Amino acid sequence: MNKKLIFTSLALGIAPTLMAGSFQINLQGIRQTAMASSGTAKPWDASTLFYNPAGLSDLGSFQVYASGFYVSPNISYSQAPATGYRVDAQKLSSFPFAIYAGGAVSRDKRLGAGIGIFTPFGSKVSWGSDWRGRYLVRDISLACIQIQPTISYKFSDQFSVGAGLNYGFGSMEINRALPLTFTDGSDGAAKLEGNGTGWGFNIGLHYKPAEEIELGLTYRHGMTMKVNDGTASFSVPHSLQGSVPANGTTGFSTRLPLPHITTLGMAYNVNSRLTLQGDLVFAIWSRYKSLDFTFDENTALVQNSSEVKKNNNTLAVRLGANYKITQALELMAGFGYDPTPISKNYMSPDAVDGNRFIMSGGIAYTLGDMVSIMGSFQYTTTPTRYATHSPSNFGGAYEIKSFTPALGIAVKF
Amino acid sequence: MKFKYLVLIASAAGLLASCKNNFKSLDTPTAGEADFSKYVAIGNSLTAGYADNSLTRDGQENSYPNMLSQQFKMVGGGNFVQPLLPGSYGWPSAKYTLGYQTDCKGVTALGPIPNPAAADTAGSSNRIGNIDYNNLGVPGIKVAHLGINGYGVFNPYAARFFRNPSLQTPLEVFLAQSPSFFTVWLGSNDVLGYATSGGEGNVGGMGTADITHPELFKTMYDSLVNNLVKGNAKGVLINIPDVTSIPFFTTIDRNGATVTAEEANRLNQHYRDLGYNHISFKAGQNAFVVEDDRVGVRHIEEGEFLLLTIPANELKCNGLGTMRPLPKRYFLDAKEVAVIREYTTLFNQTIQDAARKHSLAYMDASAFMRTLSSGFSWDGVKYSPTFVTGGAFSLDGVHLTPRGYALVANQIITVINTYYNANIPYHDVNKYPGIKFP
Repeated sequence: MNKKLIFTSLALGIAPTLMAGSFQINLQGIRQTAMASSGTAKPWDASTLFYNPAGLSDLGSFQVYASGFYVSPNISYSQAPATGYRVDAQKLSSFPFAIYAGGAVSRDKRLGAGIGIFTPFGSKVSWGSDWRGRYLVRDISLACIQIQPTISYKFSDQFSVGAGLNYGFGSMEINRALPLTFTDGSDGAAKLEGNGTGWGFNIGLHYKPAEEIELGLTYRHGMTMKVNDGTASFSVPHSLQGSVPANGTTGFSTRLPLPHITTLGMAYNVNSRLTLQGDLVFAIWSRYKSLDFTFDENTALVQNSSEVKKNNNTLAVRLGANYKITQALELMAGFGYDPTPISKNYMSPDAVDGNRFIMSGGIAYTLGDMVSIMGSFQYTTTPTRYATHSPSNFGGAYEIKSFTPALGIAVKF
Repeated sequence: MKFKYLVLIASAAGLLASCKNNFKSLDTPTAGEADFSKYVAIGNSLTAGYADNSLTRDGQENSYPNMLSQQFKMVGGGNFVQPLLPGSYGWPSAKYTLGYQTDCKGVTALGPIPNPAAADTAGSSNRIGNIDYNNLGVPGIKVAHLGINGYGVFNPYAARFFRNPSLQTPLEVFLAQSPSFFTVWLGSNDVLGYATSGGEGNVGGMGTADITHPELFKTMYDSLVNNLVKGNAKGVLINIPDVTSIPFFTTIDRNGATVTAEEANRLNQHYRDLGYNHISFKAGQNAFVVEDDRVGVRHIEEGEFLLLTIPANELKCNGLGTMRPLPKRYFLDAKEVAVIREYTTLFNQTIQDAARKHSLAYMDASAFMRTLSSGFSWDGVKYSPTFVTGGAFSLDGVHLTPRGYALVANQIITVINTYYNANIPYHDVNKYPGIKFP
């Protein structure tokens, strides 16, 4: 018996609006995190490998550094105007980490080298299987680990340069409902999962015109994460199985361009105890123009898709202070403002973002000049944001708040 | 020293506690210049909640007026009472459901079939006209019917809930209450019957297949609206969608006569023998052959529409549309399409004039249906006028699915919010199931 649909097919436009601005993790070094993620101008420790590779030679000694973060944001959606319909995304925890090893390696202390392994971006959100925006996303998780071999060279006590090569590998998984109803009233479903890789680089300058002033300038070339062997699977009612790829699965490829980031930082060593620092961070998000999915097998219901993204370039401001209570004990505090790259009419619940206000603080204790133990927190909040995802006509109000504690240890050799 | 730690820990704990999202500054719903305390919906089958070729209790509960009333309740709306049927299989006939059917060629395909369960009979025809209803949607009613005394006797739906079916005009029933807010979506049947009969009726007649005389339409429509606004009531007048854009007319492909080379030769010979040299089939897809008053038979042309009610097996196996020309009742020719469009435009002018005259909100349902044709998304779902899979039209190809009705409700909310400076939240479209596939 030949079963087929009598009516014309429809293209579902399986185009998960994967992600945009909010997935970048600015959590690397503990001291910097405690100072609202500023730290381009002053090489505090081996984590400068991330913030400014030029600082590596300035560390003097060789260091091994590890930090771990507990991220568990509160992300909420509310219909607007308020109806009582509100969804708090399930609180999902992730544990970004960073490990750095590096410092001056040559006898004259001019040449620096190091390697970093860290998590530059990631995102995990679960809105639930029955919520109103389920056809956009039920849950999404992105994870990435980057490896960055780095070298630096100190031309003089005032001036050093550095560069790093970035290799990233990661995974993605997104689940969404399909508007194809089973006889029991439940929805069809699509799942896209895959692994991706990408290459990038970063360079930095460190300049110390006077004892109390330090300047830093860095450029991080955004890598494009490429997923080439993803698996897309579809669950649809029996009568529609002929309209999706065989066995309900097919391969897919996609790519995610990350922003190019230029940072200008300045640190002012007020006295032997107090340091003030600030970063201006310019991120070119506009290169992320569309999210394209190419499926190995196109069928009536599953077709290659391209979804337009409208991202704005952003300029973030981060300010921090470090105060040495004793030679061993330091306190840190910071404030930052991170505007969102995602324009108001192109925000999907799979990458919720808003203008973020960051407050942070931290403490470091150094044992005998060798081992530093550090703790920090960042508190991030966004004002209520009214936003719509125009391509799918889904809108509402969003809020994000998160409290991120972290611990780290640095060992000097 | 220790004090500082305590301050640090205390402030960290404070931040942790303020991690909950509160949406404190969120807008709240407002009624604007309208008063929703008593909402009455006047209309036809679309207003009653008719779907899948019948009326059911589920359909009534998923009617756009019922959805609107739920949103109005957030801005001072009152109770909304509907003349609910007892059953969910359809009355008087069984509703359609999606199922497999094997055609004359042995091909089993998915399509609308009458629900295997029998139609609802128990209690469906009981008279329940002893109270006032807020949803006055009467399936089948035309504007032309508004002044007919005893109309309720001829319409089983009206007979159920009109207070006095044999002695009232529909106009009297519609005006019996003094709503503070109303919606009127009437007029589709004044052209639709002509269209679904394949243009067999006349202009100016009173029959099901006739197009209402535009003067009668204007007289009746104006007298309805003139009286509705008397108590300073506000409301929305909704116009008539272009009926030729609905799946009932757009589903069967005009070029669906697929033949082999041999069959094409045979058909061409057949028509040449009859003296119709302008009929020409080739191997592959061809335009169907239809009856024509002027030239006898011809191929159907672009801009003409085949009706969804054509028996499919006759097309596939018995030469209908190929060896036997399609009778006129199965398609709309270009002239009939022009007539439908002409009168739809005339009626819509009357509706728009009434809205202007009484400063009422006007919803251009015709334009809304056109946006649906070009692809329309809501809350992550893409809708189109495609039959069955399009998501908005129910299995009869004329009426809407619950999601389709919710889209209409939200479009009306948009119009109300704009016109009356209100801030009424949209209805949740995705809480309704789509068409169920086996």
